[in-house]
Amino acid sequence: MLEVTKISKKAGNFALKDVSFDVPDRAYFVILGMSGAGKTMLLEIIAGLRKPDSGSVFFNGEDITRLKANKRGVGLVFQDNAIFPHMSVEKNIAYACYGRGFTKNEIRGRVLKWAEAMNIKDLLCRKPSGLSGGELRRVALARTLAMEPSVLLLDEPLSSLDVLIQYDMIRLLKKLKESGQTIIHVTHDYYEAYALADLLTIINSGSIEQTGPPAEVFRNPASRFVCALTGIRNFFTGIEISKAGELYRHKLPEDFEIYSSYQCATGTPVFIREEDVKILPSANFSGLNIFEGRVTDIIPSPDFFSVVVDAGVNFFARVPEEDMPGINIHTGNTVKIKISPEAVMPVGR
Amino acid sequence: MIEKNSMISPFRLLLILLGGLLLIFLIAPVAGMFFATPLSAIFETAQDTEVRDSIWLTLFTAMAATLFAAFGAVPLAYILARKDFHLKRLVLGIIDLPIVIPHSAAGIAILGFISRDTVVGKTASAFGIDLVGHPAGISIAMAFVSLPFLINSARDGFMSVPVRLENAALVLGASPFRVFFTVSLPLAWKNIVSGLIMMFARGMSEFGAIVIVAYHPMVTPVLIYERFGSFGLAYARPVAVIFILVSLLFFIILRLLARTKNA
Repeated sequence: MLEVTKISKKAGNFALKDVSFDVPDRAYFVILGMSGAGKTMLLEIIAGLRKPDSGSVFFNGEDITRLKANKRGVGLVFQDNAIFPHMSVEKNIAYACYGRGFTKNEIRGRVLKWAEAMNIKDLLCRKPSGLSGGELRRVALARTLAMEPSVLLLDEPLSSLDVLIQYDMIRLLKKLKESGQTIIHVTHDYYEAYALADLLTIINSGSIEQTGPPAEVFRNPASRFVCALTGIRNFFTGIEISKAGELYRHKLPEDFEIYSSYQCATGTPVFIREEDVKILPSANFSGLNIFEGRVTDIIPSPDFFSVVVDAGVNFFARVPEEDMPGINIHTGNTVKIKISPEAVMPVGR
Repeated sequence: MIEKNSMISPFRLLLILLGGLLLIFLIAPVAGMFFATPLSAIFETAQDTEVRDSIWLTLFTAMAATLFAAFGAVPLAYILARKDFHLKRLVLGIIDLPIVIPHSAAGIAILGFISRDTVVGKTASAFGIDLVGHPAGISIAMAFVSLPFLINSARDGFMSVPVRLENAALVLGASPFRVFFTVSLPLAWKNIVSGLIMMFARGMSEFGAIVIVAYHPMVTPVLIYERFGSFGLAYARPVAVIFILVSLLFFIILRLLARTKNA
């Protein structure tokens, strides 16, 4: 198990603040955050390329914070691959095997094993210049895997690959995960994180906001930032919360009221998923959490439309493509929307 | 089409004219010297043992100066490329010092440094060498004036090696020693070789510092000066022509070697 405890590090006007998380053996751990959130710096600290100002990194109970990078046995695949340009692909992959007491044949064997696993056997004699982005990424992976790292650190492994290759790479990483390799994967892409992670941690400007299994994080985002990162745009903070029968009434500015099934403290923000904002087929409905508003924007996606309704506050509603003709939505139309109190969820519940 | 248009632009014409004039200024004196020297005089001078000895001595001392200096200069260049430290700008200034001070002054400084009553001089005496008037003294003078070329070029080379690649090698388990020899040095090699060639060439052509440290044995630049002083232009010219040819030959050979090594 890799434990990161209370890591802080200042660099220029950016800082990591008290970052802690545990990565169990054989886990696929994803660190999700916007660019500039400190993800790469965190990886460099785990790899031993930077020293933290405070805090520690433990591996299997042993404090490795001061251990030199070349003695850690932690593998890092750099975002830009960092392939040695003056060596052949084979020499690149073999690099970590030299000086470890392996015979020539053993080294050759390891190189072949990982070249095969990464599907780059036919590139072994080539020089890196002239290889495609996807090929270079595979060489970088093979080179790091040939050292048989205790933990594999991946810095944005899918970035700068075109979409077709991204899928191949996800499959490759899934295979690695199934082989039992402990992996820490850094990304800014929520879907990528969701596709691969056993455990997900979300980092925002140097601090961890939430850690947990991706489904759990998705179900219960712990902060406004996590909501935004997971694609939630309906997000409100009540100025007053009061009990109303079985429900709780959230008073928003300008006398807007919305009811929720969940109890929470005043000042706790609530969110509503787009798919839970229903546009009603006719205007003859009224009742709890039914609002009238004007359609201000319709944003198409491949299989749904995001409809923005101004009902005093802006709601984003997700309408499946096949439902669109039935409800006659056009920009400027007045519509009614309905939100189940069950769908109005406090953040960090 | 664009090519054609820009060719006839007055601005380009002006550039070509000015550049051309400067090139003529560089080529004319040397070419003039070649044309003014009869072939028979060149052949005769080439047989002269004093001339031959001086050329060998010049090549040998310049080579020795370059190779010995490289052992300190390359690591220093690496440190200067990678580390930021207090007074780094001062150190960089000191390295460039030999380029700006007059070489006769450099010679005086070196003479004071290696003469018999100094620590360096005494140490050399203990090994039976009197550095003043010795090939070793010549090499020291050459190294002093030509070191900046090697250090600066090697430093440029190391700076062009991405730190990321060194980090990648470290994380792959290589010791800093191995990282230097398998990643940093090979990737900076082109600049280092170019620096070695420049240092060698600059050492070979040195006169001012050497004439003060060691008039004898005579390196070719000193010999040319002596022939001119004692016998006049006609006697100095063939030596100069031969030396320039030898220097050019070495320069071209070394450049070609460096290129094939990189290809």
